[in-house]
Amino acid sequence: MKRRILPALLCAALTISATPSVLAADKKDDKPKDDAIAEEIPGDPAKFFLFHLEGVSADQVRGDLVYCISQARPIISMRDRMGSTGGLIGAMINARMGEIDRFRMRNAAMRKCMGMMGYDRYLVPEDMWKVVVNEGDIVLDDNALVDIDVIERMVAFASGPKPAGERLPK
Amino acid sequence: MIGSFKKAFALSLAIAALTAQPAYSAEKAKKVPKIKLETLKPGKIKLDNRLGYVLVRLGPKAADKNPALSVGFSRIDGATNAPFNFVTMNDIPKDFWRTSSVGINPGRSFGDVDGTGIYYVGFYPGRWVIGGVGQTCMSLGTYSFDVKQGEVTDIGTLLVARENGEAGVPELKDAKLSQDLADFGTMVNIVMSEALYVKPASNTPALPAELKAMPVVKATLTPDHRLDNSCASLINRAASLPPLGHQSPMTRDEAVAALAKMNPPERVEAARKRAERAKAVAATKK
Repeated sequence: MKRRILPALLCAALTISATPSVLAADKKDDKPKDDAIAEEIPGDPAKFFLFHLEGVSADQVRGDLVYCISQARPIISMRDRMGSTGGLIGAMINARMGEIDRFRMRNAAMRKCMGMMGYDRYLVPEDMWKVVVNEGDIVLDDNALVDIDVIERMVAFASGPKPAGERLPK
Repeated sequence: MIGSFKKAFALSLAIAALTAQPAYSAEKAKKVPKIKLETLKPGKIKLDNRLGYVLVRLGPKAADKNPALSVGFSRIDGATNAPFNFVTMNDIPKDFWRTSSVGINPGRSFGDVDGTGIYYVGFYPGRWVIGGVGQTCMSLGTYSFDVKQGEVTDIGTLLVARENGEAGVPELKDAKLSQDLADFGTMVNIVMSEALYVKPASNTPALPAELKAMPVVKATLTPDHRLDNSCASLINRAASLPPLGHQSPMTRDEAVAALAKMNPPERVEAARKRAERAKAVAATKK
């Protein structure tokens, strides 16, 4: 049976990297130089990204996103499949690490799925990403639910104008 | 009086035990061996006439950065072409779990052909899909095929490798993740997916003597069979399939309906209660 030990308790103890965000809000109008981007976007490219495809309709993106999210959502990690040792503390550490693993694996699955359908991946400023994704990730929110509002914001980004951020490898 | 009752009770128990023994033995003699879907071992072949056998060439052989990978198969409902959908536990046929999945682990093979090992594996008759490779679910597109009782079904060659660009076979040379994913992790790379390339059967190798009486049938591999990610793992699409196209477009309402099926109701309810509690706390603070 899947092990999901105390993830809710541990959410409070998350130490999400609180890098100061010095980010240009309107990059689309005033694109900074390449070296300035590196300084201004200290975010993790494995986390702070969104998908975009030139000339795609909002309905098409929605269909593609819902399909890929349905594929990525059930992912559990090796830690979830194996028992934990070390008592309560061990279980708590394992649960937190399992959560990170699931997040990374879901991201990898989304990259695979959306990438196969031709979407490009763009680095997005951390604060902008948080506005779009609302603290969860691109698949699940903090309640481990798929949020239609997050999907709608990702749809707007994906079908909108070409992002100013760096295009990342798929 | 009590003593004689005890004696009579003891005697009746003894008689019951004695008379029950032959019936038990008869039942034991009639006991049907359990179905085991196993890879046949050279020199130790035991066939089960309730099964069909799948002939598969699996490779490439393990190399430095590419360990030998197992391949998982799942039996699906031939009528719906989808996974079996049992409404209640009582609907699940006896021994279903013994007959619904097969794993092939590379090991001692019945010979080599073009760098792949030849394996014969017992399959329960029905429709099957190549479900996964290693830790990866081939849910974005795989192949299905039928297995019939008393036949050897040749499903061709399965080339499998990690997506690190070092598969060592031309068919999987493009199976390479972005460098950040390929280099992820220190001890275990949890985001490393595995690739599958399927080549339909061409020449059938010489069968072991025990299987020679069975007809050999080249499987009709139905391409682009899509699955849910029921293995809850990383996902991929067989590299031998055409590229994954766009999905059906969706309106917002259609997406909301799709999410209603996706989100577990108990989690939705828990989230609603949490939001209510947070609102109440915020109100008291004001």
